[in-house]
Order: sequence, then structure tokens, then C-alpha cells
Amino acid sequence: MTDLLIRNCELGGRIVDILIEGGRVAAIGPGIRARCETIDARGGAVIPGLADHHIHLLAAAAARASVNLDYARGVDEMIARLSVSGRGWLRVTGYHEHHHGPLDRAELDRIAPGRPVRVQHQTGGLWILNSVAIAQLDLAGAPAGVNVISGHFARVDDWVREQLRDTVPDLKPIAHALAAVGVTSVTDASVTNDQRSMAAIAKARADRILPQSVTMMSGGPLSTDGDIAVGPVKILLDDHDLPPLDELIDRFVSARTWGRRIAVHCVTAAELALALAAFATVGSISGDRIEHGGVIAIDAIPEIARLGLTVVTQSAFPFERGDRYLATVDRRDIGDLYRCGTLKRAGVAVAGSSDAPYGTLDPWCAMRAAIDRRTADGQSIGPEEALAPRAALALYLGSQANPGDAPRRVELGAPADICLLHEPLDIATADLSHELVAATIIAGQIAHHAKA
Amino acid sequence: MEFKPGSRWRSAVGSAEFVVVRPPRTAGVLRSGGQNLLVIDAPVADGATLDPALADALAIGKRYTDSESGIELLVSKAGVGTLTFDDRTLVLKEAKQLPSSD
Repeated sequence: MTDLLIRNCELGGRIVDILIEGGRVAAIGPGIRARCETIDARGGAVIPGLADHHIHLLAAAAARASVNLDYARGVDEMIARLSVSGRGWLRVTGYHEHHHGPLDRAELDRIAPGRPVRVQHQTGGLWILNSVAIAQLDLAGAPAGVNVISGHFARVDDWVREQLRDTVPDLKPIAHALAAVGVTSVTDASVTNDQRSMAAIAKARADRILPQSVTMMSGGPLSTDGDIAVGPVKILLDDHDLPPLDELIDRFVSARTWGRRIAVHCVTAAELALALAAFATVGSISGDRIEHGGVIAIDAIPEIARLGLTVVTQSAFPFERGDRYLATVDRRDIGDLYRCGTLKRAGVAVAGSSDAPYGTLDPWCAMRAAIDRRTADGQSIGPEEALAPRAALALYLGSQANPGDAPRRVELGAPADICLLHEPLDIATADLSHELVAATIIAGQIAHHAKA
Repeated sequence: MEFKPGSRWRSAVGSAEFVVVRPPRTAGVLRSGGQNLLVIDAPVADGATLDPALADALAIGKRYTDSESGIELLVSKAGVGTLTFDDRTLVLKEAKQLPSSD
């Protein structure tokens, strides 16, 4: 059965037609004719669909039904955003003490006393609850990390979700948003993933709500459901509460006995050092990952290269959060933040991701940030980490199974996961923007088609 | 002594083990309990004894720094033996309580 014909598109510098059948590229060449749905690309480039290698789908979906504090600067603006009318739970995301001042139960009671409120720290590692919210919880058996006095609930997402009987958020808006920016596959990097979240996401796939193919990490054992791929074991390290090295090594060994690769959250120098010590002790395999790579000292790069680890970065962070970094991070360490260029030059594979909802969903913003290495206010931040435009694009072209792979290609027999641009590649790469995305095709089906 | 980030070291005079978080900016000698640190898989040195004046306890998970050289160590196995870099005593570093820089 013939599915789709893309006419007059640019591929490898030539204008061709691409015929898609059964979810795969069936023919490439000039002058292909077929009786089927046809898109006229008018010379726009086709590139492989973009892969977001680190996202949190359920949290990103929930964030769309929350009050967001991103770009709210100062306490007053935070208070204004929290003063929305309504009843029932108020879920707030994007709080950071640098922008919004210290926040605890008492302060939250003062700002928002009337209804249960929970505020998520920008990093996702902490919830702050007011008194009305805490009164609704059954605190018997509360885990370590719960501090009722301060209202700080650190790294207890599972427990909070259980307590609040959170329902699965609607994944449709996030799926649309991803398709609109050309994303055709994602890796969900949530350490809290379990069979419940696996089932929820598998159901969204089966119900055709979520067209993007999904790879799921998890902290513990995980079995596949539907067509979801089981990804690496995610290991979360917390700078202020690092595990003994022996314990970390045990967790690495468990991951290997489950037959899985390992992805370690490393945003600080100490987290990275501990991860490298564990990788060196247990041994690394192709596809093992450093997530974020927030602080990488220059001396750590040869060891990352020797171990063959892929660094999955968020190149948008130096843009989105760079002004805070410049204000708060030791000047000598600024060059260590979210490295790209020096890693690639040392032979380390680097892949791109959003970390949404904790970073922008838009891979094109992240590509521009990787090229410009400037903060939102325009300050230079780690200029030697800058990438050329095509290298920035390639951050999103690795495979989900191994993000550090060479870029996928639109070629005969390949899965028809395609991003069609409005412009030829040379023009597009001169000004990368989500507005370039003309159509997003996933497994041969149109997931997004911009109005001409 | 080359202190690469993530490299593992152990005390010559007790059970303590360490992971280098940040290397020093300048070369120097790193000791615990008055004796040079050993790479993790080095054989036990005979006759190395703990200097009783340098017998501070090292708790697991604690980090020690020397601001002059910039070296930072994480204690990965507890033990006894004050850490020094070129005879300067390393000081305990307090970790931030909030989620760290991201």
C-alpha cells in the first residue's frame, strides 16, 4: 500500500521525490508518481526526524496544567503568578531561590494560604508544600526527604504522587508540541519510571495519542509494554547526598545483570567524579551515558573519552539559565559548564536533549544556543564549546538506542521518521528555528503539517 | 601523583579511600595521616604508620578541599588520617542542601 509521497524535496543537495510505503522509505528519485497523499516540499530539505534524548514525558504533560515560574523574575512576580483564582490543588513549576528568594512552608502560607499548593524546584528535585497541602497527606511512614516543618519534600516524587493519587496527565498536548518542532522519537529519562508509567505511555502509543516512538529509562527493573523500548538504567546522584562508592558500584552491577546500559545524572563535579570512578571499576559498554554533564573539568574529558561514554547535554541551559550561572558559579568553573565543542574535539560522543519540562522543549532553541553560546541576556558563556550549525543539528540525529551514533539518514529502507523543512539545508542552517518545520512524519504518518 | 577526576586512591595507614573530584592546579604531594596516598590497587606498604597528630576521622561522603591548589577529594570509604596537600590541611567542604547547580 502506498502511503505518502513527498515531492520536490532537497536531499543530499539534490531535488528528489520520496515515496513512503509501510512506514519506510520505499523510493527516492526524480519524477516519482503515485496515487496517494502528496506533500509538495517546494525545495525544502528533508532531514531525519529529531530525537530528544532526555525528556520527562509525564512531568512535561503535567507541567502544561501548572502555573509556571520560568522567566518570572523576583519575589513579586512569583507572588503575582501564584495569585490565580481557583480551588483545589495548585501545581507550580519552575521555582528557583536565585530568582524568587527562599521559599518554605511558612512563606508559602503567607503567599498562598487558601488552597493546597505544591511548588516544584526548577531542577525537579524538590517540592515545597503549604500547610493546607500538608494537612491532606498521610505522614505516617513518610520517607526521609520529607521535612514537614520546612515543607520541603526532596526527591520523594513517588511518594507524593502516591499520596495525591495523581492521575496520568493528558499526553496529547505534549505530543503535538513535540511534533510541531520536528521531534519523532524521545527517551524518557525519569528515574521514577516503573510498570505503571510504562503502561500509561504504552497506552498513549496504542491509542495513537503519542506518535513519537519512546525509549524508557527507569531506576529499577523494567519490562517492555507495547512497542516501548527499555533504555538504560537511570542512576540519580545528589550532590549533597552522594552514595558510598561501593553502593553505586552495586547498582551498576545490578544494571548489568538486567542486561541494561547505564545513564548517570551528573550535573556537578562530584557527581561526575563518582560516576567515572564507578564506570572505571565496573567497566563501560557502548551506549553508557553521562546525563547533563553540567560541570566537566577539562581533566575529566580524557577519562570520559577513554570510557567511551556519551554525554547527553542540554545545550539550551547555558542560554536559559546562563545568566544565573554567571552570577553564582565560581568564575574559574564557568568554562566547565555544559561542554560541547571540547568534548567532541576530544572524541567524546555528544547528543542533544531538552530535559523538558525543566528546559525548553524546542530543540531548535537548543541548537542555536549550542552555536551561539550566549545567555538570554547576551553574555558569552564558554565560547570554545560552540558548535558549527550542522554539528548542532546532528546532536538530535543519533539513534535512541545509541545517541552517540553517527547521524541517521533518510535513505532507502529506513524508517520514515522525517522532518521536512520549509527551506533548503544551507538556508535553514544559517538561521535554525522551529519555524522551519514544514511537516513531521513518523513511521510514514503525518504527525504535523504546518499551514503553508 | 596525577589526580584525575574520578581517579581512586587509598590511605597507606588505614581503611580510608578517596575519589578525586577536582584535580589540583599545581603538582603537589597528597597525604593522609602523614603518608602519601596510594593508587587504589597498589600493594599495602609495609611499615607506614599513622602520625598521631594527623589522625582526624574521615567520614564517608564528606568532601575535603585545599583552596590554594583547588584539589577536592570525596571520601568513598571511611577511615582515619588527616588529609594534607603539600602539608596544608584540607578543610571539610559543606555541601549545599538544595538541589545543586543544574
